[in-house]
Parts: sequence; structure tokens; C-alpha cells
Amino acid sequence: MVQKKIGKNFRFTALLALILSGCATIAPKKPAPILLNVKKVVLDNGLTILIAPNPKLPIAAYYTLFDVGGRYEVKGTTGATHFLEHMMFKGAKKYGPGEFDTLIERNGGATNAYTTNDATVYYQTIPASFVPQMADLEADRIQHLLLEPIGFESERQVIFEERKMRYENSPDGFLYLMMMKKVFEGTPYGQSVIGDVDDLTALSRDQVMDFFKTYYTPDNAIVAIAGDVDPETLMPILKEKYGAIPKSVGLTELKAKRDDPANYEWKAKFGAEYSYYATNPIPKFAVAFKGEKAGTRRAFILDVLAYMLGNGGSSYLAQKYVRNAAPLLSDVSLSSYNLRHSGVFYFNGELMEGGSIDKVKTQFMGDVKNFCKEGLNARTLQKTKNQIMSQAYTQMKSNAGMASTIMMNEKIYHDYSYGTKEMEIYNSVTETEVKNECNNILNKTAPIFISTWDKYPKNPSALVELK
Amino acid sequence: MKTKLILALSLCISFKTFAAAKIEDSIKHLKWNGVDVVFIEDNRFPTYDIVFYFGDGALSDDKGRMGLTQHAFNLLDAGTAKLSQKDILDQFEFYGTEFSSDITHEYTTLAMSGLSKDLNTSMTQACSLLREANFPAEIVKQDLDKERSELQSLVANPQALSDRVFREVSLANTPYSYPVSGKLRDLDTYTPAALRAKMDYFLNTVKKRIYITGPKSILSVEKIIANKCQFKGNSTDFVRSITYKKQKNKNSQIVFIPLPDANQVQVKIGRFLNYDEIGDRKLDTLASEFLGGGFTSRLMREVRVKRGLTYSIGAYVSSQKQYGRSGIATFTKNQTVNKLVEVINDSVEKIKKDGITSEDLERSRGAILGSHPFKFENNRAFLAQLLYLDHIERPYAELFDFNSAVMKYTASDVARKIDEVYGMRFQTIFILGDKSIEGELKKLSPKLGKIRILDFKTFI
Repeated sequence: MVQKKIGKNFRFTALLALILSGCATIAPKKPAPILLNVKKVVLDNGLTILIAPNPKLPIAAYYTLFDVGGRYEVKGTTGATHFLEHMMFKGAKKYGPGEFDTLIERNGGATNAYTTNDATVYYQTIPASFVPQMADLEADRIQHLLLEPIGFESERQVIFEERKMRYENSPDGFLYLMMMKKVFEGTPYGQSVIGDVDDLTALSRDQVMDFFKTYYTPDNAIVAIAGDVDPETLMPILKEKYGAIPKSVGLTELKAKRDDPANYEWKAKFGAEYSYYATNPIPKFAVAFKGEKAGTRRAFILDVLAYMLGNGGSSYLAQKYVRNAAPLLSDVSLSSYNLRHSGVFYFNGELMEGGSIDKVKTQFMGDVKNFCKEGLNARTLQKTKNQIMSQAYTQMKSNAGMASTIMMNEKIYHDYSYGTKEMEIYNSVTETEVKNECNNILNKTAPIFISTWDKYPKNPSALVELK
Repeated sequence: MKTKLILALSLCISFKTFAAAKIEDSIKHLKWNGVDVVFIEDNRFPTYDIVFYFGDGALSDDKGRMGLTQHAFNLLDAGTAKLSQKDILDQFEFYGTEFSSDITHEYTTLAMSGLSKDLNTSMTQACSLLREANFPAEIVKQDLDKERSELQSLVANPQALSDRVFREVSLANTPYSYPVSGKLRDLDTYTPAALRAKMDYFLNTVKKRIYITGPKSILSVEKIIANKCQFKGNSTDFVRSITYKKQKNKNSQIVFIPLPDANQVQVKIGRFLNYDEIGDRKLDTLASEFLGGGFTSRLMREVRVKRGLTYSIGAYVSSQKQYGRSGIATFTKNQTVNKLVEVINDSVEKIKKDGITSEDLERSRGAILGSHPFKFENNRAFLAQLLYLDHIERPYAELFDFNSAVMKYTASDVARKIDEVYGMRFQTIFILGDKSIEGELKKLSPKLGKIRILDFKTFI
């Protein structure tokens, strides 16, 4: 599975109590911070383990993150990380082909994984009694993956079909792929996570094994477990299963080289326009600006800005373009996608039937300069904060939501409880800050305009400069 | 084998103990102004979920104006005499309140969730919409124009298009084949007066139930529901029930829908299930799990793992009170569609011929037993299950006795059920893909029936 957007818009974490005060009021009280009940241990080999007990039901969520994604692939090996993710389910030394998922499903669990530009995540929902065996299964495949040649070839065909499903037969997926390629052109984010067809065709077992040996090491991983488990009982079991796995050699240096900020400097041609043939009979478009990497205050402000302008039927963009007497668009959205080392701030829209893409483009691009003046006010800011808080509950109600969020916060901020701080930051964002950033991004920088339509020629488009 | 049995029993015991002590006892039955209310107290979060059930659905729509029920509920937020659509949406969104409806052929639900301290405010607004929505013509037109646009775009979404067409084709000549949402030709018939009349019918004539979960304090919403929504219940409230002639199993047929330039073929195989074929839902679940549930199902192993023919494949039986439908859903590349269909056919035939092993059975049984507690993790999902059981007139005990009931099934029960439901001799084999595969598909005819070629536009 490929997940296109990790951390898109908002990432909510441990903030339950602080939501109690002030939500849905114009002048909220300052929220009181709370402490999460999470046990954290870092093993000698560098593996970080997080356990969040929740005795409500005899079930658990088991998450494992490896800090490797599409960004570590080079031309010719695009898709290797995702290919490896598929192969992780096809057998290891102790639990051979077919045994991994059979054991999990026979015990009532479910297992899957996703790969993004920044990370590869494996996850299971399982009966709590199965957690020790889950650790054994995970420890086995991390150390002793088989990568059997026959299974490797059949999985290659599976991935081709997945690629068609996600991109070639999905106009939205295709538009997103082309936007990412153009916005991040020349940087490690400018590649298809699922892989280009030529690369996937040529990718060898040895190349995938190389990825596995390089990046699937305990000091490059986080395990997060939430559910009906006792940390005091479980931690020794996890230490036994994972503790003897050797840490990486040279990975820190390799990652430092790959993550060098110079690699992520903008190289795209902002101000350009691209049009692509896709199967949609009504044109779709994206307007993409330079965004912000995750974790900075600016990233939080851009999150709030995206929400204020574009979230919900009452939002400025929905009212201006979709819900009025003469709608220009059938759908519109705005997202701030904050990756680890860069980001993109982008609008998506779909025309009404019979609409002209040229006319819509001209009008929309002309309107953008007015968004900051017309679309932002104190009530909308408070509405956004209320929505963020309300959504936070939804995220934390399940074991999977809990495990996923503490794991991601540990990875990005080195602090599993960063959600509390996140909420403080969101609550502290002022109207002036949002307006300033709105002006900075929409009025002082040029976007890339990308559209798809089945009336465009199937050949690659010509590059057109935006006026 | 012994280990597996012990494991299964331990799951059974641990959940049963848990269920008896906590979950089952947490369900409270109340009566608000004659309306049955099911309440689950949950103090973990200061949030609520509330669902209104109405005992009628799309079957209430008249020919020539099908889809009216769905649009009446979906357009509740279009406006009232006092509030514009923008005001209404802004109010809900300001409080982070989710407000949505779901319409089936047999019943309708209206759901709302949010922070418990805002429930009374949001419910007051929801009641005003139910009672006062006037469906302003210009807003209705905007929404329908948008819907027309979306329907025209279905051609670019082969999976969604095939879902829509397959449902209608495989349920043809039954009362349930027409889409709940109506078709393009119906959209012009949704006038403000018709939408209001439909809403009044649901409010004043149809049986209602209320399902609610959250802290005990949210029960104060009773007064608002009684006074503002004016919900009241009595024994004469209408519940949809129809009489239809039992459908005879038809010989298998291949339905081909050409889609220009499609580089992937959507394949769906299924049939209508009569009212007397859906009585054993747990066995349906177990059989579907074995055949097409998860990564270790028979079809996933045969089609994806062994042959790399697809990315995903699944099998399901879904049923309401009076009917059901079965389906196998997958996709593949143009060149391998015949092989895919043949592998599915052979897999189902092999189960009929050879049965399934006890090990196979234990894997599937373990899967559905072990995953059962997950149905209670989310209270909204839990409420939905109680609502469903009430709708099909089955006791809640089915939920809590699930494990012991599932333990009774044998391997031959499962094999027989797979043959009854998924046996290829009765199926509609639906294929949506590029016209160039038509010649290849004809090679399947001798074994799997005649090919009918239909235009997808007929179904939009």
C-alpha cells in the first residue's frame, strides 16, 4: 500500500484534557496540559519502544515505523521502498511464506502497511493476547527476510496493478502524482513513491535487499503498541525479541548525506503551467505553492490557513466557488502538506460540467490575491481551532490512532507527547500571523498550475509560462 | 489442532466475560415521548454520537421520482425561512459537529456527533432543519448541477462506476435494483415541495428510534428532541415491509461494459439473495471470510499471492431485513481477465468438490472470533450494530453470543454455504474494461454463459 500524504494538514496527538476548556467558545480558556500514560524505552541497539496501555477491550494496535521512504531512492530505483514493503509480507526465516499473515488473521488480527516519501509503516490490529507473538513475527522479518525470487516476480505484477489503480485509473491520484513530481522536481521528493514503470520493471531483488539491509535496522525504527497490555510485563518480552538485533553500520552518515538540506532546495520552475491527459471528462486542476517542512511554527500557521480558507461547506473557498448561484467549480480544497524536509501548499479544484479550464484558470489565479483579505477573520480562526480540537478526539479514540500518533510524534519531534505542545501552538496562532503568512505565500510567490483532462493530447504537454 | 482450539476457546471466554460484565450491561433502553431510545453511557470522552433511525428508505420513492428520499435528507441543510445554507453549515462547523445521513432501500439514518457540551445547541439546529427545511429552489438546483457533474465524471473512476452498474445489473428485476440516489433522469423531479413532503412523511408517519452514546449528561437532549424535533412514537408508526416473488436462481451470465481506453479490467461476480437465503448471517460471514476476507483467504492466495493477477480481491455477503446480495470484487490487467475469472471459477469449484480442511476452517473461524471485539472499540460502530439488529428484528444476544454460535459451524457447513452463495452457475459475471477484450471474453461463454454487452450510460 502506498499512502500519498503523511501528516497532511493536521497531526493530532495527546491532547484530550486540554480540549475540555474553551472549545467552541470565542474566547477559550487556556487549556491545561496533561500527561500521557506511555512507557518509553530505547534499547541498547537504538530501537525505540512506546507502550500506551488501554484496558477498555482485550485488543491492541501494533505499529512499526522505519525511517525510510521514497526520499531515499535514487533515479533508477524509484519504488524500491514500496516494493520492499510488499515483500515484507512474503516470508522470513522462522515464519516462512504465507505464515506471517496466516498467523495474524487466524488469531483475529489484521495487518497492512504503507509507504510515503518519508517513512514506511507496518501496522496490525490484534487481540491483546497475541502481542508477544506479534513481536516475534516482527523481529523475525526485520532480521531474516527471505525475498524469495518467485514471490518477488509475482509481487512485481501486483504492484503494477496497484500503480494503475492509484494513478493511471485515478484522475485525482494522477494529478497528485504529477503535482508532486513538478513541485519537487530535482529533489528527493520529486519521485513516485510507488515507482516509475521503467524502474519497477528493472528493479532487482538485490537492489531491494540492499534497501532492506541498509534501512531496516533497530536504530532506524520505532515500535508503538497501544491497547490492553501491561508495560511492565510486555517490555521484557520486547527486549528479548528485539534486543539482540544489531544496530546499523554507517546509516547515520548515509542519512545525513541524503538528508542534506541542499538536496531539498527548490529546483522546480514555479510560475510554469502543465497540462496532462487523464481519463477525467471534466477538467481538474492543482495550484501549488512552495510550502513548509513539518514542525516549524510557519507549518502550523499554514495548516491553520488551509483550514480557515478551505475546510467545510461554509468555508470561504466553498462559498466562493462551489456553493453559490453560479458555481465555477464542483469541488475545491486547500491543503498544507508538511513533509520532513520540505512542503507544498496547494489548491485542488474540479470544474463544473461544461466549464472552460482556461477561463477558470484566469479567474482563479486572479482571485488568489484577494483570498487573504476576504477569507480570514477572527470567527473563522476560532472555528478552525474548534474543529482541530474536535478532530483530536476522533484520532485518539482508537488504539490505532493512539499508536500511530505517538509513533509519528516520536519520529518527527523526538517526543511522543508532542501533541500537547502542538495544540498549544495551534491555540496560540493569531489572526495577524495567519494573514501575514497568507500574504507571503499567495501574494509574494508564484505557483505551479497543473491540469488534467481527457481532451488534452496524450503526448507530454508543452511547458507554458503563466502570465 | 489442540492449541488452536484452546486459543479459540480462550478468546471466546475472555470476550464473553468482558462482554457480560461491561458491554451488554452498558446498553440502556429508554422511552422518550413514545420513541424507543438505546443509550450507551461512555464517560471516556466529552463527546456524543446520536443516530436517528427511520423505518423506511428508498423503497418509499415513487417511480419517476426515485432518489427523492436520499436528496431530502442530504439537502436538509439547504436552508430554512430563517437561515441560509451558509449559516447552517457555519453553525455546525463552528462547533465541529458532524451531521450526515445514510439511506438504504429499507431504512434511513440521520447521524450527528460532536462535543457533548455543544449537543443541545447542535440538536436545536438539527430539529429546526427537520421541521423547517424549505429546500430553496436555487440551492437545490446548485446541488443537483454539482451532482450531474459528478455523475458525468464517473467514467473516470472505473471502480465507482462498476460498483454502481454491477449493483443494478446483478439485482435486475428485483425491487432493490434501482440506485438509492436515483439517476440523472430523476434529478429534475426534485422540487422543493416534493422534498418537503418527503421529509414530512418521514417525520410524521414513519417509525423512529434513537441511538445515543456519551456521558450521562447528554440525556438532557430528550426535551429538545420531544419539543423541537417533535418526535413521538406510537404503535401505528409505519415500517417498510414488502412482498416480492422469490427470485429463481438464473444460469450464470457474463455482462460486459465497454469503457474507452481502460487499461485495467474491473471484475465483479455476484447475485441477489432472497429473503430465505439470508437467515444465517454468521455462516455467511464465516464463508465469506474463508473465500475472500483478508490476505489469507482462498481467493487472495490463488489470485494475488500465487499468480500476481491483482492487487486486491474480496468476497462479501451484505443483507438487510428482506434481501441480500453477494459479491466477489477484484480487477486485473486487460491481458489476464480470462485467467482471473477462470481461477476464481476453479477455486469455487474446488471448494465444492473437495470441501475445506479443518485447518482452513480454524483460520477463518479464528479470524472472525478474534476480530469480534474490534466491533466495540468505536461506540458509533457499536450503535450501528445495535441499530442493524433492531432493524432486522434480531436480539442483541446475537452480538454477544457470536462466539459460541460461530464455534458450531463445521468445515462442510462452510463449503456448502460457499457453493450456495458463490457457486458460479448462478452468478452475474460483470466485466468493465476496454472494448478490445470483448473477443477474449467470448471464450468464457461456453462455461460461464452468454455475453450481454451494455452501455454504462444507461446506468447513470
